[in-house]
Amino acid sequence: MQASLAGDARAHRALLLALLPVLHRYFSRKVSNNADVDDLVQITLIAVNERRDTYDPKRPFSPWLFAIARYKMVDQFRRTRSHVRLDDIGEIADERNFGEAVTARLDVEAQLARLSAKQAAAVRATRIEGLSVAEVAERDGISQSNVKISVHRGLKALAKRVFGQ
Amino acid sequence: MLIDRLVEQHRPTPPHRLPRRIAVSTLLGAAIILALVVTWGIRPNIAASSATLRFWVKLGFGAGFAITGFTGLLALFRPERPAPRRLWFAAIPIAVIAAAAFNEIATVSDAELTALWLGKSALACPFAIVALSAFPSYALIQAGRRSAPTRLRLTGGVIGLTSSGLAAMLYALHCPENGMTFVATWYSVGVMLATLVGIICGPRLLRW
Repeated sequence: MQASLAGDARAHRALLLALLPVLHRYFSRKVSNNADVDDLVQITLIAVNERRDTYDPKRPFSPWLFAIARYKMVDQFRRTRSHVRLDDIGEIADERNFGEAVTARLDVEAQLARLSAKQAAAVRATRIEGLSVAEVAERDGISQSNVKISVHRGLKALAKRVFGQ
Repeated sequence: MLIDRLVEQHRPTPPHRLPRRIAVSTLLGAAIILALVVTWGIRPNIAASSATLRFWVKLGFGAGFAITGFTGLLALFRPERPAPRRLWFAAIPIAVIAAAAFNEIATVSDAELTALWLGKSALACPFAIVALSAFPSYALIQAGRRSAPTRLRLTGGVIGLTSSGLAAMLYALHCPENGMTFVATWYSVGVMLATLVGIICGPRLLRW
């Protein structure tokens, strides 16, 4: 890097060539798509070349390099919006009430497990999966009134357990 | 191949090109502000007032922010540097002006205090500072785009702080007000507004 800053084109070339595998490995670990990895390597090489005057020769080289690589990766993700920054995943999950949905789901499953198999299946099919009574009856080969009764008894039992305790 | 193309026009990189770029942008912006302030008119009693401490406190208030911001940018324009701790030096001008303002409140009569606090240009002052700060801001944003800042929001805010610090310092040459409470309020509003604009616009303007 020092020689390349001094204007030595051969050293500069050697430096950029040496960075190729390093950057490739770095981006491969973070990005799944191979085409994206290649793009990012190129973008970062261009940035390293263009902005080499922001490197302070008194400081270590690799933090500088990876700061640029990281910035370019985040910038690229924002541009294409096809990926999500790892740091942001928690936020997005919060936004969609992910945590609440997961615990609610677990609660429902725990409660359903305490019903009879037939009632649980009927409740799950009509109230969670959103099938109609007729569809369930056809799928399970039982009469519609049978399904209705199972749903009714199942929900009643659930209500008693959840609210009536 | 990409690397061949990049190596083709390889030129030596002069040392200290980055700090020089920041300094040139800052000085350019300061020169434009100074020219405008001189055209607008230096305060009439400059000779007499420059002998007073309050004149220098007023000038130093802006200068403190400008210097703090400038040294902050030296780090922020490099990609790998952590948020510079020396930005806390911005607390010094705030503390000084707060002390001066409280001293004024304690020593001056109420009627006089209101006159000092509002002066004749209370509303013009923050807007003048924000408007003047646009020139160094523009130059520093251009410099930033050719550098490699990675915390764009913070960098934008510090550009706003540096620019409005410069604007406040040089505007003090024009501004005929004498109140320390005036500076503590209206100058601060100007600096805060410019910093806020920088924080809001930083990510969009500084992208590279």
